[in-house]
Amino acid sequence: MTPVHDPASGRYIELPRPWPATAWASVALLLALVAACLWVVDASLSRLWAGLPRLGMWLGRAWPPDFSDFPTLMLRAGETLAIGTLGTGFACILALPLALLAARPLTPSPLVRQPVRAFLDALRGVDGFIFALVFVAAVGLGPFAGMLGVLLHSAGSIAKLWSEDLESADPGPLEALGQAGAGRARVALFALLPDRLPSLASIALYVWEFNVRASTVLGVVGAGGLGQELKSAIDLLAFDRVFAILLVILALVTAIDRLGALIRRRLG
Amino acid sequence: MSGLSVHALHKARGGRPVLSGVDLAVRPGEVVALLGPSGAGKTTLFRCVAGLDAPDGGRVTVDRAELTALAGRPLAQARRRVALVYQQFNLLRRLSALDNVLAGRLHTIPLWRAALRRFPDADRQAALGALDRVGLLDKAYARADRLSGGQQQRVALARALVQDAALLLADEPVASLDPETASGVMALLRELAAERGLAVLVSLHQVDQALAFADRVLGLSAGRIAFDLPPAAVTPDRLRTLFGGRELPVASVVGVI
Repeated sequence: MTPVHDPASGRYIELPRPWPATAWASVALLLALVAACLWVVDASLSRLWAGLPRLGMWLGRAWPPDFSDFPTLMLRAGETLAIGTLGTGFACILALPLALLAARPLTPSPLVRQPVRAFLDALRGVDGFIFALVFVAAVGLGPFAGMLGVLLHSAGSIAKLWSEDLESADPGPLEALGQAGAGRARVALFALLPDRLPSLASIALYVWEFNVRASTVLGVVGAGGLGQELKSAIDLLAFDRVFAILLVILALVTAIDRLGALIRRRLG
Repeated sequence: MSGLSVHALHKARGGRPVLSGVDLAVRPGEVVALLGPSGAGKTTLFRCVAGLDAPDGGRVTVDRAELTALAGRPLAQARRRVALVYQQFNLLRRLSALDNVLAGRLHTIPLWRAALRRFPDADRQAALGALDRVGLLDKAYARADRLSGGQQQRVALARALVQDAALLLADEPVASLDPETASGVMALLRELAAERGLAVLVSLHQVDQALAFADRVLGLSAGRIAFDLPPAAVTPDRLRTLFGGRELPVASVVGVI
């Protein structure tokens, strides 16, 4: 139904193009879904309204922030940073072979690729928080359990993101090398990895930033870092101390995000 | 004067002169082809004329407004009179052909209309008329990336039409089209220039297209205009000198002349 020229009026006539039934159906479905979700989470504006004064009271008691035990806060911040950094670093080492095995151009056989992908999805599907909870039970309380939790979850995420990045590489040059007789493994190690290195590093940095942020709450399950202090301060209703910890978290996360962004820009 | 005039244009990049005193003029309704080897400064010249780059010296005048003397809002207003057509078409791939043409009128409508995608009737009529003119009325609602290369370039020309431009700059507009489609687009460009009194400056690397469709041919070499001649006066010798005897497809030139 294209527009037509009407010689009598000299105008172009456009017929209205109604939405297709599928579009209406999608909108209706979406609205129904939202309604169902609101019902499930038991959303209530009145409860939010009633809770506001309590929130205000706590906020009042949070000022001024209590930095009295500053050395401990710094130690915990260091733990958080170490959990995120080591967890991401070791995850990268674990992720590299997995990414190569999960990338279609490098591992054409679905017999290998699909199980590897399923394994990655399993790692990714379980939150680092939950892994940390399990490791606390296995190796005891403290940041080591947190690091192991971050490691396992991130290995899945990084391998998945890396394999997708490798799959988006321009196939032309790789085809040329393959035509010249080089096997897939050689092509991957010699040509593909250096070619994609900037974007692979960028992905790893993103995950690192994410992990440092995520590690700030790992302590809630006893896996070390600032979360540990946060939980004990909340348990004691020491809101001025909670506020101080939140400020430290904010400073740490901001610094890491800036640093990550800076490095990623320079990677080009 | 109306149309385009460029006087003593200088531009250096990284301390190296790219344009060293370019003088040229394009009258309304005239199609002028720009030839030159890669690195001669064609793209830089276009960017300076379009107001995308500020030249180091010289004057660019489009339809009596001196771009090089303007800044801010008046410059933006004057730049509107310059439409650009690119080798890679630069259409919004997911939008319809009609929406791409309407984009040429975006500067005339308030923000709420842009957000709701509701153009005034007059703009829609103008856009449909432009599409009709380039022979694509039946593709008005087709997505841009579903169109062939030649069709996409025609949509880009329609967009230039509704932009109400005085000058059309086309940077290698047919370089990624097959010869037959390219000739069609060039012929259309020529017709539109005559109909609308549009000054057209078009850079080409196919010498035969330049000789077949331009009113005048300019040779750009090492940042200067090496020659400014009607097509009939462009000899193979001149072209060989211009291209340094390397890049020239001599056979095709001799065939045309």
